[in-house]
Amino acid sequence: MNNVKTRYLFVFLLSALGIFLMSRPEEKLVGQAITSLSLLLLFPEIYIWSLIFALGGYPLREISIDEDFCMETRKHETCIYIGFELFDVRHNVNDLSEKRFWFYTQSFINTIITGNNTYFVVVDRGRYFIVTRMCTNKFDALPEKIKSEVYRLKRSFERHGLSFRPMSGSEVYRILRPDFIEKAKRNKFREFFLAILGSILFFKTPVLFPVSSALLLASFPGNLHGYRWKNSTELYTLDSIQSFYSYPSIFDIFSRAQLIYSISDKIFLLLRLTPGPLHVEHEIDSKAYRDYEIGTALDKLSVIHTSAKFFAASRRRWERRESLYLVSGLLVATQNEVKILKTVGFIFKKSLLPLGVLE
Amino acid sequence: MSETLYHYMRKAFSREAFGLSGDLAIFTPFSILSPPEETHGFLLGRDDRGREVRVNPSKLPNMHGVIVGSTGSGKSTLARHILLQAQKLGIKEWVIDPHSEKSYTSIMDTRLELAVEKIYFMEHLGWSPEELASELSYYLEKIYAFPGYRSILREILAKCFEEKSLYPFERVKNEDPNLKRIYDDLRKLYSEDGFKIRELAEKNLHITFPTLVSRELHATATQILLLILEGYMRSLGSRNRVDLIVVLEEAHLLKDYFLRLFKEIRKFGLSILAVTQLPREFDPRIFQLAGYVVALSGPESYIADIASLFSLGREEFDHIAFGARGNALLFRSGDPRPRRIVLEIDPSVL
Repeated sequence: MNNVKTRYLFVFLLSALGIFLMSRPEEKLVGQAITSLSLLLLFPEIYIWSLIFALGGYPLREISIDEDFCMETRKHETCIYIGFELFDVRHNVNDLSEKRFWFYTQSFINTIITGNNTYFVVVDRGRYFIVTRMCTNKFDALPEKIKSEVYRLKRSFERHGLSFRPMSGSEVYRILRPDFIEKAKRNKFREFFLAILGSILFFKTPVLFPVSSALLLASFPGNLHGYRWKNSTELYTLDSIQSFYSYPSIFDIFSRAQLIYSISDKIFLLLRLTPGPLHVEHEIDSKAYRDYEIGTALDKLSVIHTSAKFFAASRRRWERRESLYLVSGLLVATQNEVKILKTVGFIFKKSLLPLGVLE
Repeated sequence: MSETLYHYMRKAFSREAFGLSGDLAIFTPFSILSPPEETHGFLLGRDDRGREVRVNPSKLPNMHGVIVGSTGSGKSTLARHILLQAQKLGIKEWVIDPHSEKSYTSIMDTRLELAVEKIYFMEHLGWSPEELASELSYYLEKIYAFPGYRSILREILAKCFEEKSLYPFERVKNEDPNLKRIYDDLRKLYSEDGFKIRELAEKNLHITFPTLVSRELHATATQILLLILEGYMRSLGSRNRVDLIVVLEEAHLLKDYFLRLFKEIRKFGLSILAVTQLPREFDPRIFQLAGYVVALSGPESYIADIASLFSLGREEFDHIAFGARGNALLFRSGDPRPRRIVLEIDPSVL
């Protein structure tokens, strides 16, 4: 929520500056560029699509494979991916009571998916993997960070009665770049063509400034690589988690889990989980009461309804001590499984750009 | 430059959903993972996920198993199915069957009708004469319910095994009617020209009895066969693969012997599959020691007895209580979780 507001504010300020500069003939070009950029921020899809065209596939960073981990180099930081396969659990939905299931799962999530890392939880046709991404700008501190994270995860797995094995670097890579996607070849001609097209549009058609600047920027893709998914694969992305806005009983959650158990050997599901920042947690609370105040003041049922939804989420955080996560997901499944996931509150939809979750 | 720009654009473009830990509980391993399954061994059926469920006695801490189920639940059918599976794996097999069911004969090479056809059991391979005499006398005392006869029998049988003849027994048989009773039964089974254990162990045998045979003779014959077989397998040395599987119908008749067998004879390539109707007919320790137990369907009180031996959830209880014939629970040593199986019986044994 905060991100969106900041973005709009940024767009507004940039546009204002651009329009101001455009009114001065000597700085017209700079003004045009700034206005284009602000519009690009408003419609980032234009840039992403241009990049996809330049790369011949969805842009993802290059990941290198080491013996026990994968590594990704970003501009200011280095990220390490380590993974574990969990292959057995002493107790599951078949023998746990609703209460014990609740305590086991909450303890699992709270002790494993925590801290500043990003976690990839992967269900691959009945198999279960967890991959952690640790990023730091202090390269020297990385070995110690990896060691302590591995130790923490292993302890948590053991505490929950889970049998596990560390994954090799190539296995982690296969999780992050699954079999159903393939690397597209870089085509210098296409990049050159985009640069020329972008330049012509930029100077000849001022109305298409955002498009032309997007094309120009995309013609220099740097270290990014395009990935295509095979046509035969039905890919869905997580649209929303509707159950977030409800206050389900632990019995309800248990019965959903039983439903998931029945389909988990038929799907490939990748969830990227990031522990929710504190400000987002606070915004959920404030959204609940602000909407209520506005809704009751204006007598708007729709706003009151939205407030009730956020209030349910807020109550769960405070009353049941549930932790908040930012979740994105990728699903390979049939329509039938998509419908089943919808009944448990996870809405998956087809997307033109589904691979963002792999970043 | 392009990466940084892409990073910011992607952030602006990306949509992340909010999820609380309660929403994500359904994607924890507790609702995804099921117990791993064997890929080798005897195929029994399929679990609730449609995966093949197999029993691999060679991999279990104890090679011996138990099939338990009430009348008509399909114990013998399952036993025959396991025998067929064993045949496919090149394992030799015996069935000791007091009911002489014809259905077994159809899948076995040779039928041996004890008390009509004789065996030579003085060879005591793998045993010293005293050891074998001591063991056999212990069980004979129980089978015939002649308390106090163990030491007398041990002396007589030890001489028999030393001389490799029943003659020492013949000499003393008339001194006591109880000894005569035992001698007469042994005589019905024994011949110096009878089958030797080496020959028998190389065959797939269906061991039966004449229709009208006393309970004691049946138990004595089975006991002697199993003791000399045990000695023979021990004489071949220790190994962790199954070479011979013995299916024993009405196994409760030899429950005392099983306890010792399940405890001590674990790594000699001999796997006993004891078939019985009710769990209470066995010492509970047999279930604790068994490498695997297959429980077939039955009435509620029978399942309550199973539940007193293993931890059963409501679904497991219902699986064999309400399930039609063909449902079973599998318990494997080293993994307390019961597997709910829908049996896939080879049509040729039906």
